[in-house]
Amino acid sequence: MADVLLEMQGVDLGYGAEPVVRGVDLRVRRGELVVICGTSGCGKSTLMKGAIGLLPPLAGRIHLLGEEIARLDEDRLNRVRARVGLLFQGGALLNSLTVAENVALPLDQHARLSPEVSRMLVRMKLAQVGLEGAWHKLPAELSGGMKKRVALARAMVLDPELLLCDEPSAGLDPVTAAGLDRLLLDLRDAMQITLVVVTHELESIQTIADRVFMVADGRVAFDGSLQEARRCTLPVVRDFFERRAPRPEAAGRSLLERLSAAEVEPR
Amino acid sequence: MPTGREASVERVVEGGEVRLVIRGRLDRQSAPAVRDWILAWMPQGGPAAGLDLGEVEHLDSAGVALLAESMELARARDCPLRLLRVSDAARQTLSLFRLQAAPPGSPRVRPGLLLGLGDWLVAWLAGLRKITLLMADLFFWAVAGPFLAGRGAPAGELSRQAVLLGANAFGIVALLATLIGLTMALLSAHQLEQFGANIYVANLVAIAMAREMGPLMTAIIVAGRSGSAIAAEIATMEVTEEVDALQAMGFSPVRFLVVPKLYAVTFTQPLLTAISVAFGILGGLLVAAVGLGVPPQAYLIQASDALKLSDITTGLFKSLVFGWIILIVAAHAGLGARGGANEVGVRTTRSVVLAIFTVIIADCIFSLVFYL
Repeated sequence: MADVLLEMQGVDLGYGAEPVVRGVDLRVRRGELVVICGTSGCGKSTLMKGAIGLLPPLAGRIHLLGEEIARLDEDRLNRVRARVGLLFQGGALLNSLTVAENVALPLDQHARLSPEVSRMLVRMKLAQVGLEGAWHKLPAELSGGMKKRVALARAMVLDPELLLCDEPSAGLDPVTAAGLDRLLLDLRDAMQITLVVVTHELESIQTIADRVFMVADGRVAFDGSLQEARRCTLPVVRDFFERRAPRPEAAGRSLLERLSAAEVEPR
Repeated sequence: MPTGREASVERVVEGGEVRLVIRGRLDRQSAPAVRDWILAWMPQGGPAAGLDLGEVEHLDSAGVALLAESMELARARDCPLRLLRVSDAARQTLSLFRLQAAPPGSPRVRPGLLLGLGDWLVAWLAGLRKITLLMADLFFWAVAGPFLAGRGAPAGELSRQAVLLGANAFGIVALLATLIGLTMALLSAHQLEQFGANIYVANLVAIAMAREMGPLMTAIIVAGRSGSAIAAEIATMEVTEEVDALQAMGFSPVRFLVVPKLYAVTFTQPLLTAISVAFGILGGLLVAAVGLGVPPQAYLIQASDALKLSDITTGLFKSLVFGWIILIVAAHAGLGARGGANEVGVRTTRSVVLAIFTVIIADCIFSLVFYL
């Protein structure tokens, strides 16, 4: 169990009574870089929120770092969360705080370091994402890519065992996105951080993924290595990796057909 | 028959079969007129007919929607309709559009009166449960948390919030309180003058401001100015996932966002009310001195004689409760925000309306308890 950092068993997750994702089984082992992929709106971010206990499961069990999160009280859940970093899709930086204060937030909550050491640690983390100069800036003064890098610095400041990243490179230019991918790989290799990355960026997936976990129509469509995903013959997986639009029959009948053959006289 | 810009419709009967020939451009300009004509022609349970598109030169999305809707309507009216001689231009556009066999989702059914009442009651009870949990959470983190959990409000936040909620509201509270005192004095002056009791303007203004108008008007100003700001701030943080981020980092959003405001409002609301009372009395003094010829010194002595300690403490106690009500309502509204930017506006409006409503209800209860 100690080697499995995140495990979902038959999990349904959703925002009301109606699940967005159903029957998810997922195991993330220590040292892996798992990519959760799928088309927009398929429930990838919902899975991420469920993984860290922001969204209680409608069915099934979620174990995070060996603890079943539904059974944890707030204090114990927070202690588990201190060992996990989460990078939100939009960064989710606190707009009233400076960049440095944002990055230092988890330290204030979970570490008892002297202010000097905290400051140095924040500087190091900001330097790691190439933003040491943004120390005094407010989030409103940063570009989208800079916000994400600050959010990554904040997610990494406690050296988490597991780092969950929701669409880290979405909306970024190709150079910045490639830099972020490189950084994630470095984190895994140099600091042995286990990563779960939600993305639909094909280039990112092919650069970073050890394992691919694909969600389609609210269900798990594929779980395997990147090589297996490339060879997979399932239409939904093949379409995704070959950048193919959904087949016409999946999108409904053409209006000509819909008006029915009997109703349309051939020319 | 011309039917609009660059389109025409003609009804042709050939061998007993009716054909509607559409010519020219069937687009968003011509579609309304073409539709009116098709509807006028289409009887209930009429004979089979054809829509001839052989001479359609251009078909846009609105034209396609018109055709699809006409076909559905024809089916509903049991008046079979066929598309005839579809031109290349029309065929090209038609092939672009796809529809599921059934319309997506069923239309929302309006609940009946009883069902609607039940839904409202369930939602109200759920809201009551949430606000009770919020108050419990707030009480824990504000009073017990610093001792039991070893964590209070974030450092520096109290002074920042005190400036935002208190100091920055000084000007508007002072100005409006002066105007209210002035108005009350003006209204009463004429009546009191008839009995030669001008000096009692001081009693009326002082007691009314200390017991009622000071706390109430300050609360209404704070609900509109600071309550709306609190609700909008927290709601924005909800929709931009900042609250989720706080939770993911192990922070209690209530401790981080609401407790500093609670501490601040506990200090600033009575202070603002005291300022409001003082400026209200000053407004009355202006009218008494200028309009009624009452010497300022006599007015002030009369006002201080009229005020009992209980008037002041009652007013300040009420102001404290009003401040808490405004904060809890605003925090509840903000933390319940889901979805996008429009939710921020909805929550902010709801917060102000509900806070003022609750403050007035609470004021009525206080009046019953203290003065009956």
